[in-house]
Amino acid sequence: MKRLVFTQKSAQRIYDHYLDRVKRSTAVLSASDQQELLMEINSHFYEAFSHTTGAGEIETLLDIVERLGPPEEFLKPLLADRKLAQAATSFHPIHMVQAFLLNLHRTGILLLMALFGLFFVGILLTILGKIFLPDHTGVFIENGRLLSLGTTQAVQGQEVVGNWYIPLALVSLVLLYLILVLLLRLLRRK
Amino acid sequence: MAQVKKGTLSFMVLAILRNQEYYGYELIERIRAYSDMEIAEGTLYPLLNRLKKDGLVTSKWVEQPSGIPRKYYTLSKEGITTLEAMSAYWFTLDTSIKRIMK
Repeated sequence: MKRLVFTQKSAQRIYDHYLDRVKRSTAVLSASDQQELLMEINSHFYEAFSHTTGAGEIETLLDIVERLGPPEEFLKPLLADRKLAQAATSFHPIHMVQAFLLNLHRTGILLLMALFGLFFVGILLTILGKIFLPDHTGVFIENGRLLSLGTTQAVQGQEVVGNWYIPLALVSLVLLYLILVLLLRLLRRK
Repeated sequence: MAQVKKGTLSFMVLAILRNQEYYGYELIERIRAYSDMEIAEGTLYPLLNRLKKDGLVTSKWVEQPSGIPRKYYTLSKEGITTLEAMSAYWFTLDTSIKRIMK
């Protein structure tokens, strides 16, 4: 790629620094994607610079940089898209993990709901367990240590909540639900 | 509001590309000329990438005498169809909103 050359040292520094920021914030992309993006930003600098008249080099560059905005911010959606495409075409697990992390703001809510759903159904099933397998369901404790919670095949230790199990399970379902709603609110506010 | 702006920006980009191909900086100039939408200009590049991925635009690098090539964007066939659908929807929406606000 042909880089731009400025006569003023500070102007050169502003330009070099910005391109470095673009490079750094696209480090997770493939070499060709990185190069393509850098070329496009470089072309933006060249065109914007040659379309501006009157102002000095430094002033013009500062203006271009300000109007473009921080690359760390505006490149985020592009990184998430490209990484996902890359993960889908290669079998490299690192790409998959990076794609997952970059898309977390989209997948986060779904993941949270799936996790809570799993707990929810689990607790509901133990309520059925208490009805049909009462001896195998409850909170089992031995020497102050919790051995099992819910429905278990091998009964060990002392069951401590007895018939309170179902009301307690219902209360925890309500609590779980409240926590989920609060977490969703927090995520949405972000 | 941010979501509305993002959606209308794609619409605007497709509408500008309707008659002519443009490169990134030129496209930004057009947007600025037609609207007072204050966006970080860098936002346009991920957006163009998204439109390309969705098959609505195509792009090609064109060498320049300066040695710094331009990346030109053109509306694809699918892009034209999408733009027509978006415009139709836009006019219907505009009529409805005006009726509601009366």
